[in-house]
Amino acid sequence: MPLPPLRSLLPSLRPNFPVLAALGISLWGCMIIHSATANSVGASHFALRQLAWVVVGAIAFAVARAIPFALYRRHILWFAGLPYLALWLVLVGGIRINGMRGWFAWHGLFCQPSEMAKPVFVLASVLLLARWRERDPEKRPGILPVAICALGWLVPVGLQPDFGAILVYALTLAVLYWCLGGRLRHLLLGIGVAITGAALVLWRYPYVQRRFVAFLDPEKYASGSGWHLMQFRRSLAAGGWFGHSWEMGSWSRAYLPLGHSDSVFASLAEQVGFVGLFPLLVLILAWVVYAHRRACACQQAENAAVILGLGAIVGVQAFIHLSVNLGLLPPTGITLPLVSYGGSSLVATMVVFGMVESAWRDDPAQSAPANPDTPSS
Amino acid sequence: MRDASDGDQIAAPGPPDERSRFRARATMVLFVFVLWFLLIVGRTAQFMLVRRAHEVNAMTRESVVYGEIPPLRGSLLDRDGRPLAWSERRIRLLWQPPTEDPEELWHRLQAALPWLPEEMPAVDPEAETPVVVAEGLTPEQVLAAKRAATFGVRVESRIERLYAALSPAQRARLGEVRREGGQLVGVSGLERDHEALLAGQPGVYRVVLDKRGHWVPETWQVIQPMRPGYNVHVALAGGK
Repeated sequence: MPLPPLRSLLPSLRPNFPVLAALGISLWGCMIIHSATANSVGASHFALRQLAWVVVGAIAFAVARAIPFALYRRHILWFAGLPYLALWLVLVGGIRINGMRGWFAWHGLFCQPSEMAKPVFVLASVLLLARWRERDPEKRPGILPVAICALGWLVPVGLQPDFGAILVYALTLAVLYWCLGGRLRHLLLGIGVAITGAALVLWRYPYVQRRFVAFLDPEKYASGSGWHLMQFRRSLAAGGWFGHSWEMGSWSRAYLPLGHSDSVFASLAEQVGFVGLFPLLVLILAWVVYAHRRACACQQAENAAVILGLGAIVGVQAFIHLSVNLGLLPPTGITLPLVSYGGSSLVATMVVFGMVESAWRDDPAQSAPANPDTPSS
Repeated sequence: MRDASDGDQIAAPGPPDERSRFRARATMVLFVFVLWFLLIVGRTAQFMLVRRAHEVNAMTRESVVYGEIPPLRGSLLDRDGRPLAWSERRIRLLWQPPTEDPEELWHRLQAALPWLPEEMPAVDPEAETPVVVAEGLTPEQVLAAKRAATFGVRVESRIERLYAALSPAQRARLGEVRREGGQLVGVSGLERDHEALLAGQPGVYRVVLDKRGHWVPETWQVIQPMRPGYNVHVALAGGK
């Protein structure tokens, strides 16, 4: 198949609400990052870098959208292979930050392979599960491809160790498996394996154990491993209904660690209050609903599963971040897509948006008759 | 099924029951997300609205400190109104940079206070005593300095008692003051005799401390303004 002409890389002029919303949220994220880091050395440093990544992300969206979905399917080994290889290479050539060897660094530029691999993880998983189920008389994917996906992708991420990313990948894989017709007993088996894995992690890593114990009763461990959890609560409480005025988020700046990345939701809450937060929460759910509607309208099974999987992976990551900041989940280093500081996460999310548009555009449902159940010839 | 336009083999569309199953299960997943969303909204409201008072009280107890604003001591004047003893607030700027990027911090401070030298003063990282880099600052200059380099500077504000050029006998008659708890107190002579009028009333400020125990500048506020001491005319010849 020939490469698309250069002009097709330019985004369509027709307004696309999800992308416009994504760009708007990204720019808002730059402002939040600036406010959260205003007291640190080199004010605006993080915000300007994030702004540069927004531009890169917009270009990445345009390119991902322009690539025909058939090209993704045909060259899946290349699209998925390189990011997958990077997941292993970072274990030997990456740098360690906060105990996790998960970044490549080059002259001040950082790249996190576990973030960049998320879009192609969905694509590769869907293609493997969908094609495997063709062999099943009931058209259900088996336990074996799920195990291959899980082990293949989760092991290198787990060796970093990046437990937050493992959770995102695992939940997305569960969603894909379920929606593609997976058996409930296999899903329950997977949950059992996950719980066993979690118990092993708690046993193997004492700092994870301390975090988990503090999560169960943060007030009891407020001066120790529960301290970060208490700062989440207080930053949220400081926001109230309407938040502080701009750049007056004093509690989060004075006490909340990583207010520009892993704790950005709590930092944002203090600044804009409950009234300012609510639209963001609605937009995150709206993205999941959008992906669901597009997926259900698709004719092609693979297109539908990819759209749903991509919607789920962003939704799952966002909801996990919110849950950690709200004390619903133990602390784990997960960023809020489009808002938190982090170029890899932002670019990967924009690629997700582009791939969704590509899968939707190239689905026969776009030119199908009104009744979606009418088989296409 | 083959698409003749590009020669690629495309996966056949699923049969209606497969699509129905996909849609039903996708809707179940959406339902889980909606429940998760409601849980998140509820929890957010719990901390931001319902438990707000409880958390803010705990925050206030742990991080808000109240301090005294020492009053400006009144002046001793002779019968012609010439000052014999008076007080001036002297503000000093102390430099104690962090270990990370001290030069960049100094440049920001120097941009806010242009008369400071371009070269950063040498500070022994082992020593705990900071270096005095400026004296006699105005409140506006202090604010500019703190905004430019919150973590690298400390402000020291003291009220100094100054005296006119007098003979030793007159100087002894005026008396001495002593610093007690940040306030000047007359201990001899006319300073002690007129202590009640000269002393003034201290004010109260409130400020939030960060996790390192430093002031968060934008939270500093005066709860009760200080009342300066009265000026007292005394029968003692002399002047500046």
